[in-house]
Amino acid sequence: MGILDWLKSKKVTNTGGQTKKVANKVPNPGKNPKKKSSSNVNSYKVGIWQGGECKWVGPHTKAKIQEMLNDGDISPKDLISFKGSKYNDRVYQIPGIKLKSLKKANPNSKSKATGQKRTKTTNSKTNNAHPKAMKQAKPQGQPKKKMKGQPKKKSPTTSDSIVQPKGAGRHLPKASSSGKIVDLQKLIDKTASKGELNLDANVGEYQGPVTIRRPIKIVGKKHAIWSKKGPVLSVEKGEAVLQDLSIEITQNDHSKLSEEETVALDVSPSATIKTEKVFVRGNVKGVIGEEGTWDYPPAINLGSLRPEVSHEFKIDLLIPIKCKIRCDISGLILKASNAVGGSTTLTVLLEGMGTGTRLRGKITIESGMISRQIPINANIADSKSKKAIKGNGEVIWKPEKSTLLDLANQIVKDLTLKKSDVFEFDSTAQGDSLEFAEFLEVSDKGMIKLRKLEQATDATLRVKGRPLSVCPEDYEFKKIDCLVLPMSLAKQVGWRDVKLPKGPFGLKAWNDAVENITCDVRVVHNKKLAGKMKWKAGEIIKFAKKVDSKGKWIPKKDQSFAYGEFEEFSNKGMIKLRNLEQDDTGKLSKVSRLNLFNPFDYAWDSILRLELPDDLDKKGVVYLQKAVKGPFVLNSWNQLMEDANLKNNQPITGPKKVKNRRLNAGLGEAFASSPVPEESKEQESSLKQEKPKVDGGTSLKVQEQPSVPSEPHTTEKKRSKQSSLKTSVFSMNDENKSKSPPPIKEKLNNDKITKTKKSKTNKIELKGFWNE
Amino acid sequence: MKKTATLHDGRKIDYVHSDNPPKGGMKEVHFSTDGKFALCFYHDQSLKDDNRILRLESIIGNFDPTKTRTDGGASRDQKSADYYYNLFNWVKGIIVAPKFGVLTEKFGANYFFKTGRFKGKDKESTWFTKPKLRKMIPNGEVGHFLGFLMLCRRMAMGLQKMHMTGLAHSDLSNKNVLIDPKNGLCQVLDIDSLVVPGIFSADVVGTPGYIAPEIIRTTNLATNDPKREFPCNWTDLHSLSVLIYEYLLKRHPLRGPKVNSTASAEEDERLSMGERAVFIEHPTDKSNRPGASSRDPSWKRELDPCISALGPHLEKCFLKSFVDGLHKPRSRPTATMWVDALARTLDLLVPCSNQACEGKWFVYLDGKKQKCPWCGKKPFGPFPVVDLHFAPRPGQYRNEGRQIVCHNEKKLHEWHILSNKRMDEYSDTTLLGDIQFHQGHWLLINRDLNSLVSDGGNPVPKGQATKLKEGAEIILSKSEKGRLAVVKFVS
Repeated sequence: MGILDWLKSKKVTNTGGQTKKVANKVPNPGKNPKKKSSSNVNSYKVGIWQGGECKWVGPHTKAKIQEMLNDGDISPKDLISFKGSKYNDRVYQIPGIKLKSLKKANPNSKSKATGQKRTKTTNSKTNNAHPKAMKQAKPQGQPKKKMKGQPKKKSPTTSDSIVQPKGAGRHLPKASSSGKIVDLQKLIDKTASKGELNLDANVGEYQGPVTIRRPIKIVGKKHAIWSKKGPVLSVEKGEAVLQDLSIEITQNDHSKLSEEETVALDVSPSATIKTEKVFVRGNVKGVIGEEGTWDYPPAINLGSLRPEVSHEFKIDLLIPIKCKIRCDISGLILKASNAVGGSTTLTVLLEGMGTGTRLRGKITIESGMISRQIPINANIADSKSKKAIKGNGEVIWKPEKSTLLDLANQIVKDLTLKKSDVFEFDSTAQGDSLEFAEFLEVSDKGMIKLRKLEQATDATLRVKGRPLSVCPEDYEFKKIDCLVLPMSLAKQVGWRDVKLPKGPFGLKAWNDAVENITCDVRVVHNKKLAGKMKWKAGEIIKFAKKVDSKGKWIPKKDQSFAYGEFEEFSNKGMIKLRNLEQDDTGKLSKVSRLNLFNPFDYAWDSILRLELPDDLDKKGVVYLQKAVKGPFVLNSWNQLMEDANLKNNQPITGPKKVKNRRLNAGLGEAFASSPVPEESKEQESSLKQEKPKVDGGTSLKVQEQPSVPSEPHTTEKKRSKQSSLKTSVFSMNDENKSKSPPPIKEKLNNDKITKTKKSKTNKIELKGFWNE
Repeated sequence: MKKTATLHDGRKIDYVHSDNPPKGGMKEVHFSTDGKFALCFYHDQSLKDDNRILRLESIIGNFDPTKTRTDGGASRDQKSADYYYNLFNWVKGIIVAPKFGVLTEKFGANYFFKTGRFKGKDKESTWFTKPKLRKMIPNGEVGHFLGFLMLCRRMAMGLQKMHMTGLAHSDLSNKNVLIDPKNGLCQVLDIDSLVVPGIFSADVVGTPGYIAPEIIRTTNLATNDPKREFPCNWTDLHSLSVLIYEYLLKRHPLRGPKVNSTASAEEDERLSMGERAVFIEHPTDKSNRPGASSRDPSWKRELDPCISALGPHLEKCFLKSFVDGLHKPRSRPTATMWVDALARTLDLLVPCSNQACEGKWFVYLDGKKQKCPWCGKKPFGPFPVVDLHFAPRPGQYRNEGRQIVCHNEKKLHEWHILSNKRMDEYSDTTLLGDIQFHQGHWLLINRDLNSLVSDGGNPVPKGQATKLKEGAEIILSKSEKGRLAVVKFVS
């Protein structure tokens, strides 16, 4: 029997005297309403399901209900209950309740009790946790209310069930004293420079991202700043002090985030931070000693374990820096295989425990400034439980990207590498250039074992050193599917002109492939060079080696020049020439025949000027009447020099002395009178050392060539000849025109010369010479 | 008629002498003119002897738990003293003139019926425990199961304090305990005849029905007979058990259909309460159990509810008291055990979904279908129950066999949070957390917990809440003695 039924069935005088017709009274809950009924409406005992509350209030008399309604403590639409009531009976249906108060307390008005604005009462099915209760309570009284100011979305940290029951009713606490979501960025911006920001203890957590733009101190009081993706907290400028704070990226699956988004704390180069009890979930950027990729489980659940036996589990972690790892659970011992940094296998040893024990705690990873925590739990099951397991050293978690072993195996698998296959790798960590190696195997710790190879100037590969193990994470591996030529060759040839066979290669296959193509390359391109030079037989050419024995480019200032008489281009494109030596009169004589197998390693030039040996220049015995332009052939050059000697019986001072020690060193260092600089000595010695290496390490192609040294001026024979000749050469490099003061001896000579230089012609000739 | 009485220490007090004062077995009561004190004059003035005065001086002095030790009492601090002040109607003075008697404070207003047939009368236990009398009590004062449970705990606390001080009440009965079931309060009377074992012997053997069987069994022996049993701590414990049983189940634990003597009713009563006493819910001896098999038609009604409906903790205590310890006083559960059992049972209460239910609350029974034993109604729907675990070693939690039933507005205090805290007079009653059913979700709200950790391992700051989900494991406090709560839903 519902209240409406009473309205229909009986008409009772309202004691309040306001209405004449009042329905039958609400029966006393202790009595059977069908049998007894009182004529006094005020004696009705009605329970009210008050909006915003979760319980029945009352029972109340009608007068009390009217009073509560007037005070706004209840709403007219609140549900009522009494013995025999029907679902959906509401306050306004109680006979004698003033309708005026109904208007006053309309559903959109503010409830006095909750202080919240009521929006709409619905019977939506939200009571999934309490279905029966809803079945009973939904129609009776707990209308779902959408409160103003209540966040639409649950914060991600609440996904594991922390909720902010803001505005939920008078029994529930509010988020803050104001009841609003606190904007941390505003608080930070309001904080004065070098000021302190104490986070409100009643708020608990703050949504990021936030940026600190001035030196401030944040006292977090163990509260969290969170964001779904990073950076959560950025420090742009100044020194920020963070204390008792947790900075969290709440997206557990970091694989869904970009690298930038996995950064929880981002400190720009112009900023610094000081930390105290700061916990981070995510990566850290810009903090010295804290950077790198972290990969560790968000939580570890060891599951249901067998009682009274010890257990062992393993967890693979990626920890970029040296850390301390500890756990707060008694009886659980952690052993880190490598706490220094990198891939770490954490061994979890658990002593035997009794049935029903639950282990709850945290693994804390402490680096220098920042800590990270991993909740860990386990349950010790009943001995009869079939689901219980025993830990025998299983790996229970590993980084999603994989451990080093997986990574290395994956690389090998992807590249389809077999033993002795050749591949190239680029050290991403150190920024090195490409290098080549012969694959050996993957070690049981995930290191890639390989044999490093070096490439000769003819692109052949040879074993360089002992096998080395590289961390696959630090390198970028590529299988070689084309030939790679030495830089010097490649530059001049142009990659497009080379026919590239597809890899991957074994070492032998590679070298075979190189041999097959090198001839063509040389012939084609040496002929091009020959055509460009238009040299004729007997012409004197100046050449300097551009590439050292390792294939590295020699800077122009360090290149040493020599002279040769061009003979011809061989049918393979090699330049055949005779090495020339200059004596103290400037005369050139043939020394040996050179067969430079790779013309692209040399800088070529026809001779445009005369050059005298250095020592001759020092003595000032050679004086050239006039500058003569080349190109020269050998005979014409020598004739010219002879003419000059005849003409100048008396020695004349030359132009101001300019030393070119590097040049001299390169030419054979035949000058006993001039000190050889240290650099030149070193270079010479290095050349000496490298020579056998070059000879010994040449490929088949090289061995076919006549045993001509790649740097003819460094040979013993050559050097001894040069020293005996004591020729002097003038350097024509621009830098040789520097105005360094002559040594004391020279100064004396110069003084003498100055006297003799009084003649006009000398001055003019000198001027003209240098002008050229 | 206004008169003046003189106290033992010389103070004088005015009182209204009534011609027809309220009378008890030993005393008649008059009230002071200001209405604050009750002057209890002994009927038998021969009781005034040095030994009695010495006993009363001790009771007023160093045995008085309503005063602190610094004030010459027995309580450790003022908080404890205040607690027992509300629990005991302690003797405040010795009246030497015009008659020998004791001065006590008048009971609080809540111990008098305000309305109904018994308006103005004090709330003796009998009104609430006898079914016929109970029906006469106004609805507003009849109380509910929760209230009875609370007052039982307070009564047990009082007796615990007495026993710890070295006293025994000797006459704990329905007459000597006033109750306020609506508010869960009680007050213990007749403090003047306290027994100090070995020093002050008992004046009385007790009230029938509450006297321990060993006393009844030996009443026929001479007082100097070494086999004669006198009221002491152990007999108090029997009285306490009977009272608790009566309060909670509204029947006497030993009164059943069994007839022990047909010679006379008195003899039958003496045997039934004495040497042949049998618990009516004895698990093996069904001879005294009411039910269909009973010959007496008045005992045909089956026992419902039984002690099993009161939860495992109380059931255990009742069995220990009325089965193991009925004739073996030393096997009876101590007052501390009762306090502990009652406190644990308080956490197992479920509000009845029936608005008109007499009990309003019932005890959650683990592993059984939940049904209100008073009205038979099932609860609303699934509700959370929390299994508490303590940490003997850091990080290792073990089930301590204690549960908390979560109902709307269930409050959590320090004795729920920390395993080394008990609910006693020293407890900090600050609200640390509470359970709310809000928008279809059960929430545990952190009111003042420093280190509440949610199921996901995240700290729950003050003012925020964590959802109670099936299987959720919530660390209530990260301190050394902090408990772990494991949530399960039952229906």
